[in-house]
Amino acid sequence: MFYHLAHPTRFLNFTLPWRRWLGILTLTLFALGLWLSLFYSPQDYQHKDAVRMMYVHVPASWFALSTYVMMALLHGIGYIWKHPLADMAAKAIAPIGLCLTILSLVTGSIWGKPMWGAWWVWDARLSSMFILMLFYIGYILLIHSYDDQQYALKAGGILSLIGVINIPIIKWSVNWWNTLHQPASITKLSSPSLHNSFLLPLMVMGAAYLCLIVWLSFIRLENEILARKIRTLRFASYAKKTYLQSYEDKA
Amino acid sequence: MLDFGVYTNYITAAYGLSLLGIGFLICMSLGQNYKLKRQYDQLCLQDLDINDAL
Repeated sequence: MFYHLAHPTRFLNFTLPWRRWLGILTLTLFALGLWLSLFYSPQDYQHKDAVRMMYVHVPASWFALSTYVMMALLHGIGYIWKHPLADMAAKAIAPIGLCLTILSLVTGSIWGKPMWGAWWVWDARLSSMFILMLFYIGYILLIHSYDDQQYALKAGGILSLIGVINIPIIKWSVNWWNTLHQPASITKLSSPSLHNSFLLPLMVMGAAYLCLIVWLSFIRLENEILARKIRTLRFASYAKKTYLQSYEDKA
Repeated sequence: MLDFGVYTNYITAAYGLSLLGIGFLICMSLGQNYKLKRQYDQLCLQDLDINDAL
């Protein structure tokens, strides 16, 4: 299966029937998640209605981190097994991760203002999350700064693997240091410190974000494959045109 | 209109920006997909013409 799907056309054929359903599922889950977050969820006894910001902030943060881990894993697979799609997939998901990191920082900042009285503080969690955003930006700039795609993806892969060091720092920064940011509320799904009425909207929004990432990853990977095919076709048609021109000149 | 007391503006901003960001991602990816598919089809047609000429 792993090697079977390494072929771009086979991979596209495999994902094509899933994509439409994933799109529909994503939009349905977002609609349900929004309804649960804004109408179903009760007030928190400390945060009051501000707790509703958790349903957009927390899933964005979860998936900003997991997208980065996925990106590094894909580059790792690319290095070890020389899987042709792995590096392309890593490149395809980077903008999704960057967008989620920005959303996490922005919604966190909006939540922080009424709770902490400040839009931003340089505490360990916020600073390490800001560094993650810089890693994403650096990665995207790096892979677009080389003409040779293979070389660009290799350089990007090294940067993404270095950046993985930042992930455990983000995850455990709230435990290692005394931060303004609260520690994780869900460490084990079996015994979360959240009541079910808060957990349900959070899980639905989490599922919506997950479907969104998978759906967009398939689309963006197809974009990468198409861009490569276009480059090859342009090169081939240029070569054929030059050959045709020289043939006509001789005649 | 939703009313969450003193938090209404904050909640509106957080949800508004989140939906804007997600919408931007979806539109960017689907728009790029549409553009690339069109380019690819045009190039395939051009290539067929060149092949005929050859």
